Amino acid sequence: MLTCLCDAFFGEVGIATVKVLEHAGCHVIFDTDQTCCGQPPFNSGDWSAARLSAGHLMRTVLSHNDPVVTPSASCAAMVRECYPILYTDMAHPKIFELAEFLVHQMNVSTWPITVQKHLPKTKVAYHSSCHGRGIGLKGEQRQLIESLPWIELVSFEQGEQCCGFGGAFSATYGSISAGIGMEKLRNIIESGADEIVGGDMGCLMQLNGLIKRNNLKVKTRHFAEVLAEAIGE
Amino acid sequence: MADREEILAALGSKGNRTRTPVAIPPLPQLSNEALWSLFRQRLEELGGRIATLSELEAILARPFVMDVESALRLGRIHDGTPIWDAEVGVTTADLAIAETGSIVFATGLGRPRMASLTPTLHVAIIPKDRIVATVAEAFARMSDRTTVIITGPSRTADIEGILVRGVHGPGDVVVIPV
Amino acid sequence: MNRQSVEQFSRSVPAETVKSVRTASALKVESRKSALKEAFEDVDAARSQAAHIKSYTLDNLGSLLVQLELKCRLNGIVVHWAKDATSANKIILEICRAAASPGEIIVKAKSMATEEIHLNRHLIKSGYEVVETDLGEYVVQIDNDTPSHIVTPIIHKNRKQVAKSFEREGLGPYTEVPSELAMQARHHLREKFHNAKIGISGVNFAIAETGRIVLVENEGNSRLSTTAPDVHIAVMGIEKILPSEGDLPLFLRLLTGSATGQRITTYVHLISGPRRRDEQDGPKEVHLVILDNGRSKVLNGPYRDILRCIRCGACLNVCPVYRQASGHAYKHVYSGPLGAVLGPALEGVEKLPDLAKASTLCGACEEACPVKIPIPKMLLQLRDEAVRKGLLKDSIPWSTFSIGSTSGFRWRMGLKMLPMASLVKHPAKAGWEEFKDLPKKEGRDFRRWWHGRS
Repeated sequence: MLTCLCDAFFGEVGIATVKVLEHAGCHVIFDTDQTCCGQPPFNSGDWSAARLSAGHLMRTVLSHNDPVVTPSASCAAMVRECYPILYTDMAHPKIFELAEFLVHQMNVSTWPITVQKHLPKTKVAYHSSCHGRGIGLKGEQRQLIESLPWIELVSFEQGEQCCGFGGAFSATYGSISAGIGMEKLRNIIESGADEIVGGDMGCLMQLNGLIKRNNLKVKTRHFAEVLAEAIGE
Repeated sequence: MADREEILAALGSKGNRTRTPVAIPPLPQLSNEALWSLFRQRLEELGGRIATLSELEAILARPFVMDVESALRLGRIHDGTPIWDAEVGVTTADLAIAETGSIVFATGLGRPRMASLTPTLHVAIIPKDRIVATVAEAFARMSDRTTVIITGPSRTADIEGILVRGVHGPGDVVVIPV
Repeated sequence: MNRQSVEQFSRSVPAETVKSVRTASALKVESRKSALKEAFEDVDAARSQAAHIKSYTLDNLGSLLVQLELKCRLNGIVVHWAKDATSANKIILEICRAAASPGEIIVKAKSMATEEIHLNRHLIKSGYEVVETDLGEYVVQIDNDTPSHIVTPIIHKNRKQVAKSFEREGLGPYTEVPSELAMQARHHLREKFHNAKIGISGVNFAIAETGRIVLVENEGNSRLSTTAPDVHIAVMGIEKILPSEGDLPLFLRLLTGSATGQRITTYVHLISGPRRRDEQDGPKEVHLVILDNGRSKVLNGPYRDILRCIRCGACLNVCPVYRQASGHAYKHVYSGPLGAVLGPALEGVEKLPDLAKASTLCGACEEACPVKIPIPKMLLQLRDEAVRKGLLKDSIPWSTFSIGSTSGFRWRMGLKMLPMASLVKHPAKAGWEEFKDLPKKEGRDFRRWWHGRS
């Protein structure tokens, strides 16, 4: 599942995800009729609208017999945990966030590096998205990034705090959202990180918006892109 | 309908009456000496201290109140200080709890509640065999009278999170194991 | 009704206050974690156990309250039932009138339940001198302010502000030293404790099995308020009950660890009733006011689990929105994640339709909650309820979006038109753009790349 954000803005993350899954030994199918999991209307309380999107996702991506993988804990959480709220007797759909799929389903514990060229040492601040809590992620993303020798994970203050995205919240509660995000960025910059690596484009889009507006000197990348780089993609 | 009936009607009466009992963690097997050692450590961390009976004479030079059990043990008569004027309160505790550095007092005959509350210095006398390891153990032996579990001096951190002792209750707590 | 009032308020909070709240909150989060780690070998199991006991309590609330009433009466505690704030205030005023004349002093220990029913206002109108004795609550009272946190009421104030207030009240010479300020308060309040006829408190736990009222505190003002005066009135929400005394060690550890990072509070006061014939002090009368005020309605609805709350404040400390906006932004006696659910649950979504939206749904609250309350789920349910009742007008047309998402073809067309969105004015776009640059399409288009492969 590509996610609507990657579909609209961040195609490279989708491409990296496919390359990463193939490198781990998967045959990847992309259902071109997929759209959105319905999280935005769901979070806003418009559950009848959310059911429209969810219904379509169930008829398309979720109708295949194979496991569904997505580079977003937030979309995985929506489908796995919130569809049973939208449809009361539904079993939890089989959808996986990318890192949890690689580590637990494909048994990848360290990322098999194949890149020939030398990659520069990078100080990385790892941002774990809040939705990881919802689906019980236990550091799989971090584990994979950490296994790359040119990546140095730096710790920063209040690492578990939210980035302030919260979906539509980032637009309707703009000053609170920005306040929360700037606090996170201050803590990250103080740690000396060159780059922020995360697993959700919602978070990274929020942080990027603040970084660009405030001319901050830190980059952001999705961990799929980091893993893809390690296999020469 | 009276409030009581209205509330109870709204709450209904169906309810599953079975529950799992609270799992009590296994009791540590500590010697009396080890218990007092832990107690001392915990009490001192909080700004309280352990003393001996011999230090009591000097303390009692100040206006004091005493509970009956302490008075009998020390062979003193309560000197008639009104409770609000007393600077020192001496009480004998029912229990000490090692894991927290707490002392437990139940009310009763000759046991004024205020003696451990209004004076600025509280002296707690406690027989050495009256110590238990955990709060759970203390509850198993709790009196059914009004009881207070006291752990260290009174404190607050309401102003900027800065710790201040002796706000309303005693700022000094001295425990004398006997 | 001001829609995003939390957002509006947040813009007016001085940076100094945000810093105070944030710093204090972060410290409290750390101390909670280390306290619980020390207390329990398996913190998660302890929380599950507590959640189970609280669920059981809620399932059997009626019969537990009847048992509590019986046991309290046997202990000599007078039990009153109040279906709402009006009833509670009437009952309490009657007790006060019988015990003291107008002008006399009533000392108060900290109680969110009494704030909820605006008790002080009611008693003061009837001529009593009501004195808050918890240091933070005392400052709130003399400043005509409201608490901004359920455990640390003046987390939004600094020592300079307290110093000015004390000087204004004539408590002593101006000082900014916290210990000196505390001593000024002690001196001033001591006289009140001594002369008070009545003491009013809340209830941390009421034990059904033994008919005892449990109060926890660090200062000593709660003990003084409930011991020195002749009359003690305790006000409890119906859900503040525990089945048995054997449950206390677990709950005391979880409450204290989560609230202040301590192993145990300085004083744990187990009140068995008024002074008995052989006791020389203690109140001559103890009253327990059992307060419903909307809780039974909540119990029978989808937000029932919020009634497990033991008022530790851990969810406030960890919430990024609370830390940024501070407690007063919620404009309700209960703030933070607790308030965002309990407020609309008690008063109806109609009165507070937007509080549930003041959240990023990060889930840190649920993770911190000692009784595992599923706060994010209930926030989502509140949002759903508000939308179904037409109380929330979203600027983003979600139905249109979702209809677009029911067809792959329509969706792909929509994507092609996305670049033109930068030309469109929309409040959501403006809301984002006020503080952040808009996202731009970066790198290759996925679908084109995928199509190119095959």
